Amino acid sequence: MYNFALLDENTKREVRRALLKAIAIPGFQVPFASRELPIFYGWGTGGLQISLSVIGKNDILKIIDQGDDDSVNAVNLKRLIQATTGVQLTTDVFDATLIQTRHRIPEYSLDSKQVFVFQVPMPEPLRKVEHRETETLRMHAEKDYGKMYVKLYEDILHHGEITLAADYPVLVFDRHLMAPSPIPRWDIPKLNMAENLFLFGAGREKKIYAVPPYTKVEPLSFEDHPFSVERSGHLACVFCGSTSSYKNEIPSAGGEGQVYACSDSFYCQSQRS
Amino acid sequence: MNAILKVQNLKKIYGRGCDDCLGTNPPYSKDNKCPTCGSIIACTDVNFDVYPGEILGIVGESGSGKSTVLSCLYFNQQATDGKIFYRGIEGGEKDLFNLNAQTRRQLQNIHFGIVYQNPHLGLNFNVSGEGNVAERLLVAGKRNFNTIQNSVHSLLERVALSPSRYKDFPKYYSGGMQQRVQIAKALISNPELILLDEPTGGLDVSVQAKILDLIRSISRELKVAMIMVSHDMQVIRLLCKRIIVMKHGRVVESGLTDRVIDDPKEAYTQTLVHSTIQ
Repeated sequence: MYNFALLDENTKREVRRALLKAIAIPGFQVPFASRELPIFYGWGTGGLQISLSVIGKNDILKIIDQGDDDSVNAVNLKRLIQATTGVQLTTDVFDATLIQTRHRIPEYSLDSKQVFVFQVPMPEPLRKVEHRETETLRMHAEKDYGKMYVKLYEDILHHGEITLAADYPVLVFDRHLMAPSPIPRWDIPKLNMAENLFLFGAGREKKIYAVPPYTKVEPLSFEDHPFSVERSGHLACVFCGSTSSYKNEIPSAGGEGQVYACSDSFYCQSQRS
Repeated sequence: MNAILKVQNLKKIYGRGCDDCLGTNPPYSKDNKCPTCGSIIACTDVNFDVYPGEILGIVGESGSGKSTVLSCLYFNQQATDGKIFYRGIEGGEKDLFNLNAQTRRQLQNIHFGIVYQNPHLGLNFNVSGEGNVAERLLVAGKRNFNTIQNSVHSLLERVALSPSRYKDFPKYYSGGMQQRVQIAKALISNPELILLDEPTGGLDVSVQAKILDLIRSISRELKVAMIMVSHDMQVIRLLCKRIIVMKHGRVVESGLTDRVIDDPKEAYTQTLVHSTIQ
């Protein structure tokens, strides 16, 4: 009824071509002809098109949404991909060969056999400071990132620290400024010199970009205001007790005050067992 | 003394242009229009040198092409023809119009500074006054917040902006303050050349006098060369040793300011000088 992995072969080929170019120029946004899918733009169409284009019959698939394997969005995407490919599903980050994610990188580090796919809402890191596409294209071409630094300067000036939380701008391979998708700052260091391949897909904005293995990824910062991760990561998880994972703040069981729990559901479970 | 900047046969044409107006010495028909094809000749055959530490004046009525010359020099517009040479790039041997975009941006951000009549062109109104000045250091690759802030503050103090206003947005500044911040922004990278496009236009006389004072003292102390575009002969006479008079996109007269003003050779310059309210 469907072609393998839903998309027709020409579409997959076009996406793969964009991917090859993206990998060849780390952090550079490659335009591609984003297709209509049975899900809406904004629900992971960019990541989904990449996953469908690179998946093979022997892949083992894991999809997470904000670190959670069982959230509605993750489950539905998993069902769609499995129904059209018949691949094996897993929640185990070590077993998975292809991982699609929304807004998190798993706590356990990935290895060279794994491909990691991000769903990206806003691929242009400079959009925060410049709304014209012609101008952001020029800025990337000339590596003219002064305006982004002015934004950071203003943050420190008015608030005493850099206030960007998710989607923190990073410089890839000392060349292109890149939006890492809205992952928390906690996950940014995991992009740097990683063993695995990171692929980014923005369906609505029709852009694909990549960070190849062993690529330098550096968050923008000042010498005297270095980049720092969220402090909540060092609070104890209410379920597993881990003090070194990114936390969600949730209401306590008694209804009074808040407690903290791991955002990465597989990590939390593996810590408990 | 070696010139900092050499401008040779600068030409800017709006419109398609034709063989007549694109060549040297385009036909002249009492206005900016090419009599053959009707394109606007904004400026043509403009030649001048700028020497270290001097303020060169460009005068002329509105529409005479003075601002076009400046914006071509700052690469805001692409010149149709001509060459410019700058001492700081390959010893003044390389035509700046042939530079790649990145080097050109470096020129704009580090070697040259500009002050516009309209502060909206020179300042980002969504960024604090201090941030606006800091921008040029950030673009130049400075990455230490404290060092940047210190040099920005000392320069803002130099242009007499009240410290309590550093963090405010330029939209809350008075016209004179906006021009001061623009001047600080131009100066922060220690440029060799500053382009002033009617920096005191639209300001009241007392504020105008303060800004002119500031420009003159900066020129004396820092020995930075400037090109000042103005239609105001009084301002030009106060600041510039040498001037160029432009009309309909052409240079009609040039020389020492005192000579040109006291003894204008061209009829147009005579009108310009005599139309000043004494």
